[in-house]
Amino acid sequence: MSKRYRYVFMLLTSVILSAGVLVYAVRHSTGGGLLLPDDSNLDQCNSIDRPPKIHPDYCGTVIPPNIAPLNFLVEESGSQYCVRIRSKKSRTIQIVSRSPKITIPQSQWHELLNANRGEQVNVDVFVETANPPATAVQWNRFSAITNQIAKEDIDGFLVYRRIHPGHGTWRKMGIYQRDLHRFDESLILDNDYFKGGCLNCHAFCNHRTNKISIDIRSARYGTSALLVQDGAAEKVDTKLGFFSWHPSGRLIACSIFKPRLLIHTARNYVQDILELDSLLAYYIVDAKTLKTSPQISKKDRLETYPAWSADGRYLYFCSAPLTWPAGNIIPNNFDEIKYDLVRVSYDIDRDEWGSQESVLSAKDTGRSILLPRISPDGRWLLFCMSDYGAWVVHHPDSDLYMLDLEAAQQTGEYEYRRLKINSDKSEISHT
Amino acid sequence: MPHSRPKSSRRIAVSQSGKPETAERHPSRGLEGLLRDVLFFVFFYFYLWLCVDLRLIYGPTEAITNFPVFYKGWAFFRTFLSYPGGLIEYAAAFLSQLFYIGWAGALVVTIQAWLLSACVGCILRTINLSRFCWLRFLPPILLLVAYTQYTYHFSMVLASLVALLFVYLYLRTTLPPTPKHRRLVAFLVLSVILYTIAAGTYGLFAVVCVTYELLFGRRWLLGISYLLWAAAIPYVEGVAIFGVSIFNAFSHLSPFSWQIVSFEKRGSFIVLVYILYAFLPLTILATALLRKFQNPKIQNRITSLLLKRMKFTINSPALRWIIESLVLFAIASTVVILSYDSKKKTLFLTDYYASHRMWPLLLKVCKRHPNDYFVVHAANRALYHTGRLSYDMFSWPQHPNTLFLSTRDYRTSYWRKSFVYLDIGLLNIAENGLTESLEGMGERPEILKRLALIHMAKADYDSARIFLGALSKTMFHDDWANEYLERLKSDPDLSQDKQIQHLRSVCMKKDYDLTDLNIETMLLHLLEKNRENRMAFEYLMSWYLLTGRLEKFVQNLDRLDDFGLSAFPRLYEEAMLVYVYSSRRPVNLHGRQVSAESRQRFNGFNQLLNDYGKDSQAALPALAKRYWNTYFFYYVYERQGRRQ
Repeated sequence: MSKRYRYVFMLLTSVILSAGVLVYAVRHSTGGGLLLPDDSNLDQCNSIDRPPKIHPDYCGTVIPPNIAPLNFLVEESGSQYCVRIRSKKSRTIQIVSRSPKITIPQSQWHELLNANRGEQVNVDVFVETANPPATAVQWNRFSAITNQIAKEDIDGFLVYRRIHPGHGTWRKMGIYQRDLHRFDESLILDNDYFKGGCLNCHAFCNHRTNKISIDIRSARYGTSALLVQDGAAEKVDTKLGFFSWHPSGRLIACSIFKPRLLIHTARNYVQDILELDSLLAYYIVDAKTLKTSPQISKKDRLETYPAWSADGRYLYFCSAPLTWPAGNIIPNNFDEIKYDLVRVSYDIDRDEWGSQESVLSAKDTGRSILLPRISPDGRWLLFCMSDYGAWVVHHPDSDLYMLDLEAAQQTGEYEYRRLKINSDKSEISHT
Repeated sequence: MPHSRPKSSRRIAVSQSGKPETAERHPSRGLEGLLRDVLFFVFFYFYLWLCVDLRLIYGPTEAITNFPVFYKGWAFFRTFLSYPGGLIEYAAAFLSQLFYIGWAGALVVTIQAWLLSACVGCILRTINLSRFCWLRFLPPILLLVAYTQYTYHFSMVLASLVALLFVYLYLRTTLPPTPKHRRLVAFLVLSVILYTIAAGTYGLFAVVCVTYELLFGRRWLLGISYLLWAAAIPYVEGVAIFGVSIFNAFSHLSPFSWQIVSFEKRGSFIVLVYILYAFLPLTILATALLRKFQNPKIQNRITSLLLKRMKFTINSPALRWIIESLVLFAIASTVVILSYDSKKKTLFLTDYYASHRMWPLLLKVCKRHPNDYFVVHAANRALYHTGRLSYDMFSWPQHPNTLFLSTRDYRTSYWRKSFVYLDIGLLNIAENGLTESLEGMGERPEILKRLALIHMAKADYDSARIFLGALSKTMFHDDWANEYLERLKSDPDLSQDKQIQHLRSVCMKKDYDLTDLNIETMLLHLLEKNRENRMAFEYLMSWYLLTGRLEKFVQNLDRLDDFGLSAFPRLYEEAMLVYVYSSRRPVNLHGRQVSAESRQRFNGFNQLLNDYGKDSQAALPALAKRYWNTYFFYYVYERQGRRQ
């Protein structure tokens, strides 16, 4: 071996050795010679008789077995953190961290959840005290956090639009999908593809991806909808607004509206949007025709948020009285506009609409009823209610409610309940 | 193959053999060239630092909407790995942050300019076009113009620098007698790497290589194959592998991108970048065509004639060096002077000082171009904050719309308007404007900072933490953000924070739709919330003065008691005198006096007007000379609807 290569070899060897030593030292570092808590020294831990503060607050939840790791922050002061996640079967996951940010290894997490469907999962959090004496170690153990692991998987993907909370201007926006098994996000469509336009309203037929519609607005390419069916995209030269695919995939119910932005001078939320006018229409896919009907577009009413029942026999939507003249003026009583939840029967083969039936009345609930969403099995109807209006994404008073349609069929009454997952922030069932 | 030239007289050094590695280098020429470069770039640096001041481009300013955002951390970096050109964008984003520090930004741009210059020089020498080496000063001169005009094209220029570096790499690795297949391999390898790094700017590399191979190397098949590869590589790599749109695959990071040409502000002076991209390929093309079509006999005759004429002027190398340097500096200086736009500079300075609350400097700069609404608006704000609004307001040509920039032209001027809204207590309107600015200008730290403050003032700490969290990852605002994040732990309600408490004390509590409100109503509502909102009071009174509604002005004089003022400000005295004179009604002075000076001025104004037989047009020059900054003058000549 020549001298030159000898030196290179020695240099490489020393680099590799040093790296190995460094990795070993980091992995096995106990931060000053301290022992980690384990079964042998648990009794030496100081017990704190309350669960730790963590963010998000994953306490008492039901965890789908196929969800990505529920990483969290420990909101307790300390110099080192140890978290042990254990369930009936499979080995315990132990994470040690100098920062309060706890990142759970994906493969171990999925292994644990999969092996323990239907069982409880406990999370023990240990926090080393911030200023230990030089020779003493003090780990504090909090009460275990308990969650339940569901037996069933959830849908693996979530689709959403991501933008800044502005309305007048926009830069980059796109519709993305997130793989809920992990943290991967991939792009479905962004506005780079049509030179900076706008896109938002999107809907899937029967929650499948073989038929999708997306609304786009572009100075260059006009306002239109993209219909993607079985891998082919087609442009429909009309704005479909909020839409809902008929389960048959043969038509799309949509709302056509005239929104008006309103800026609040003193509410906690700044932007509000009212619909100065709106009606429902439906686009027949094969015929490429947009139609409407008096039952879904009354002149003295605002109709919006269409949602088909699972069997396609009913169209549910929201309806409010239109009590101001047409134009661009926001009515003074804008905070009194409340929508009812109604439905209309529909025969797709004959293209015939039935008469409107009331499901829930704003007069009875005292609130505006919005964004109905029906479960795939047709039993449950999820909706939100807010103090007023139709566009309530910014309204902190907007909460989610559930209605049992099957029970309503038997009793003749639509009984609903407020969901426990609501908070003091805005909850809405999305478009 | 590049041609060899006959050795000429020793008075002129002409490039000799065709092989760059054996080209003669005149020892003193190397030093002279270096000295000239050093002098030029020192001038370049100091000009950028002290005259242009790149902090003004950092802003933020509405005039530049594509200034990049930069966050520390791996997560931000990772987003740049998902598309071609991401690495250059990341580097540009990082380097651009140094514009925040004037001298550092100037240094970055100077180094960039020097590298461009060196690269062009090396390329020209490598392909035996040494006599065109003076062209290496073209890129820095173009940059001088671009920055003198306060435009931002840093990312594209960085991308072009990298592309030119790759051109040089290609030329160096394919020096003759490299066989064609090795040339192709070199081209492909460099193409793939360059496209990944620089996206659409790869086209510059491809064009130069194609031009060189076709016209210099006369390797026709190779040149054509390069052309085909130049079309294929962006499609395969960009569209098929990275999955970007076809527009972006071919144009991202280049000056032809829709992200530049579709936006007026981003495309400002884009022709400079076009020249930067085009001059090298055009130079190669032109020289190759000249060589092809020129008559060697005529060429030699012209050359020898020129040489005879120039004999006496370039006798001494030192003299030649001086003349050449002077010519260079003269060109650079002329270009800078011709491209200097003092109004633009004033607007940028106004933006900067207004944003950073540098009132004395702001007032000084606002004197330069007082006829701009934004300048007057900023001056009003500075006057208020220095306690001079009700004294010196009419030292600027006023208009009611200057208070809140309430004309159609400023309808989308969200960032500029947000300053006064935030100061005066219209937090929601400021928040709306800043949110729109997030989209229009990007997540600039100054915007995030203001949004954090607003949300903290509204006790919306969750939202505030989002903005503070983002700020804590910026390069120069992290300390401010971290301090607030800590403060939120120790003082959750921020009850000890003066700025937050002040905002809470002045912010409007009664809810309206903004479109229902006019300026007067808005200001009255603010005063209803807090009578001691001094800014609302002074702006209200200014509004009445500007609109000539002296009855309302007089009705609100009692509010002076809320601020413990024992004397009337000068302009208020003048307005009261006008009111009394025009309406013949008394004014309740609330225990105060109108000063003798104001009465004298009023009498003097009236006297002068009377001297011209009350002909205001005739009296204008005389009155303007003495009373230009009084309310009397404004009332007679400049009040809305009565502008002369």
